[in-house]
Amino acid sequence: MVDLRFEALSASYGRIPVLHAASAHIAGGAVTGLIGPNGSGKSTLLRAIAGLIPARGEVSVDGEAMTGDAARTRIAYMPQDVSASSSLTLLEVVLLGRLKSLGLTVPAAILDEAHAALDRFGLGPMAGRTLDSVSGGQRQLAYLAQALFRRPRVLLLDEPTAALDLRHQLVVLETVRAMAGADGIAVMIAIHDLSLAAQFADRFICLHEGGIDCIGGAQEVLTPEKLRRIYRVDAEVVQGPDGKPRITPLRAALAAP
Amino acid sequence: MTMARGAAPVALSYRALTTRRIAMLVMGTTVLAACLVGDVLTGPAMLSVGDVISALIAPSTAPRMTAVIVWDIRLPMTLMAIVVGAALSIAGAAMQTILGNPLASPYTLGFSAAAGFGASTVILTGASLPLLPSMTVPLAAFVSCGAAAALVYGFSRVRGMSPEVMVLAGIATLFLFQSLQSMVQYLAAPEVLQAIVFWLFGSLLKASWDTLPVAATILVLGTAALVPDLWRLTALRLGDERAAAIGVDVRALRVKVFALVALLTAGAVAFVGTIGFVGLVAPHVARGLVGEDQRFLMPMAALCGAILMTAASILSKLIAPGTVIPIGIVTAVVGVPFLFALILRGRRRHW
Repeated sequence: MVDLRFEALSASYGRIPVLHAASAHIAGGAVTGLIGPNGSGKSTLLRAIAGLIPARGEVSVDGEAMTGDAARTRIAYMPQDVSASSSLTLLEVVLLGRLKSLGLTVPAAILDEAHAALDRFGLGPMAGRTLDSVSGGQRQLAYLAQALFRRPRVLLLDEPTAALDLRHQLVVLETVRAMAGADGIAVMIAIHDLSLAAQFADRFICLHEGGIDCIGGAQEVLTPEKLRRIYRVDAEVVQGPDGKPRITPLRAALAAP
Repeated sequence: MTMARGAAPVALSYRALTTRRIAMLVMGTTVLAACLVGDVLTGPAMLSVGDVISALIAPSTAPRMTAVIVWDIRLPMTLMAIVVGAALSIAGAAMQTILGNPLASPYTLGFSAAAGFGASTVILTGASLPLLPSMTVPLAAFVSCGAAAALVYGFSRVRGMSPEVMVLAGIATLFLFQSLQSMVQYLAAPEVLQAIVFWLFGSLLKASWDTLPVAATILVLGTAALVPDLWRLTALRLGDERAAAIGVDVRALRVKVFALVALLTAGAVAFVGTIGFVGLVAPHVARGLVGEDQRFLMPMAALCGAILMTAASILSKLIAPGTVIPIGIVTAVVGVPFLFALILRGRRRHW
């Protein structure tokens, strides 16, 4: 089981601080939902853990400090943006996930594995299509296939279901959860859809104004009071048939609490 | 699961794609060979095909005049066309990749204008190197080109080498050096002005066995330095953030490739003058033919650039028989139909 820790992570864009002193311990084999309103620092936290932006604080995986190359090989981060102006084929996109194994020729075993990664999301028959000729959702799936192909110890996904239809939202989250369970990797998913999050995440980290507001299970974090305070919405939270909360946002709360 | 069934067809279809790309490279080489021959066969001297071939095969037995024309005038020009075309096209392809911008080329970022300024200044002042007078103008062009690159780099560094800033800085540099160059032209006496304008047109007549090895060496070294970064360059096509996430040091890569582009461009334009368009259009043609995998794109771009230059060179000798129109004028005439055809044909799938 992977053991991901980050300690007092702080980051700023220019002079504007966007993340202050975030600390948590994330165990492998489970999916952690990263929630919070727009601008609360979700993407920044993921980027800081992946070592892609300058940040103060410490990140370790299995006790090893993550800096530079170590972070690149163990942590896979998938950005939110799915726009693309490239005519690389989907197979090439996935292959790029293992930059270091690619030379002037590409080994057949790597090709097969890349294709299997695409197949996982039903993109096998489209392996030869170019990135700019497929839909945003299909691009998102290809990027996800790339992230899986890297065989990371830590998988950080920024809004992986934002561009996807209902079925593919489930396919993606089921696949990721199965991976977490089978390989014991640590998965963090920044996600806006709270009901979907409640269905697939084992734990939640809730960010509010650049800091961690609360960490816990769905029952503790997804409560009407917290949603009102953090998201400033009135929401109805009911127990679904699977025992997990279903959240129905009702109206934007008028005043700050 | 699907892997057992899926594996074989994939390896096959990818191999088919690779085969097709290699076939394109072979085809490009063949066309280039034909252009090379065609270029050596044409010229204002109106030599017959037989004369040229016998002079090529047995220079010692051929009439002295014919041997000189073929060996000391036509062949250096043809080979220089290939070297310059390849260098400008590789530079353009690399520039378009690191800046993520289809409009980027050594020309649009002011490198060529800077070379023109350097050359015209030296022509105006009449300065000359003590030991290598023939290298004075090329060296001035080369140094000035390097200065333009340093200027763009200096500006962009402040803002973390973002592509947008680099493009803006490049365009500003283009205007700056164009103005300076106009100033030099304005100050020049009529006969000096003529020499300057002739240089600026860009012409292969400047090619010789002295300058060719220098240009070729710069091409080989600059290209070789790109080879270890081909996959990283391909990764850059996913955007900066994704490239960084899979382990590319985007900033360092951009600086390194930018320096190589400056070197390749300076090496090319220093010896033949400002030749636009090849660096813009040839990479697009190459991309349309073999896709964005830089392992294939770079050699294909080199071939397309060389083909475009030699084809333009042939045309420059055919337009007005008995004279050679400066090739810088002709490249755009040959290049524009290529570019339009490419745009009209639209995007195509690669396999």
